[in-house]
Amino acid sequence: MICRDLLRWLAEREAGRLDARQSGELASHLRECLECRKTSEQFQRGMADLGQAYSGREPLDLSTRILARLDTRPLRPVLRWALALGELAVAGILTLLPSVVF
Amino acid sequence: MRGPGIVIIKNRGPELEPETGKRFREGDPEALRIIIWEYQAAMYRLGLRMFGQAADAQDFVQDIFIHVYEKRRLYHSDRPFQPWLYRVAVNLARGQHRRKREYAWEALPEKPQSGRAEDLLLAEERDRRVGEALQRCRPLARETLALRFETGASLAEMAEILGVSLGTVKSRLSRALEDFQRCYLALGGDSHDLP
Repeated sequence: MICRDLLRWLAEREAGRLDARQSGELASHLRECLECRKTSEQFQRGMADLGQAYSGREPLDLSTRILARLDTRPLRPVLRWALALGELAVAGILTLLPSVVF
Repeated sequence: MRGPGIVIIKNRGPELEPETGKRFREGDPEALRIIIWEYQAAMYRLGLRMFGQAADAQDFVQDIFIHVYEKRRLYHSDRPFQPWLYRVAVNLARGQHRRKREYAWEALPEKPQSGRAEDLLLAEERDRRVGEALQRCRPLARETLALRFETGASLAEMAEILGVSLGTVKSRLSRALEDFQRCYLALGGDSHDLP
């Protein structure tokens, strides 16, 4: 039973999903089964490798590129409309102002 | 709670000072610069793990910070910044996964060299295999493993970032580890048959 589902048992133990009885059952099986013990050792090496593996470093100019994209990003439609309406309002005031004042 | 298992924290950014968080929320460009500077490396590594391609990871990081800046009003500056940032990143990655569907593994960027030649070769081979195995995992597994092993998030932090219960995180982590180990062992070409 454990032999067939060994990877699942090991993964569940690693994720903290086995209770004390199940952990004992797994440990007892690993003491008795040489093949499963080997796989368990490989599993542990895989865990260590996953933790230690180097993924890569970001390019040095990444922050510059992010900031450049933020600066050149087009305004959202709501803002574009607000700006256009504001410009119209100012133009209207400037047009009407002389006739009101004089 | 750190939870069971081997977890190596890889240069996770420091928690943001509340004052900086507050200024960021108000749209202060200097606060945004601090945030980009502090977290771009962690976001880039997360992107590499999730997409496997340097170009995709770079686009991903740019999208994260643009999105974060546009949605800054949704951030509550009295709460920790990183879980919010990671939540935005995970949601964006899911959207990109849905759009792309397919991934290809590319060679890792050159690693800073130090140590014996033989050790370096072994480490490079390990890094390549881990990267390739991750790219063979399902996107949900990759997301879970990237959060756990690339950012060193605890199970409780993962639950907060993903917006799920602790039990669900454990269940996802268990399935993700099984998925990864199956791919990793298969790539290793080991003579011992997988169960």
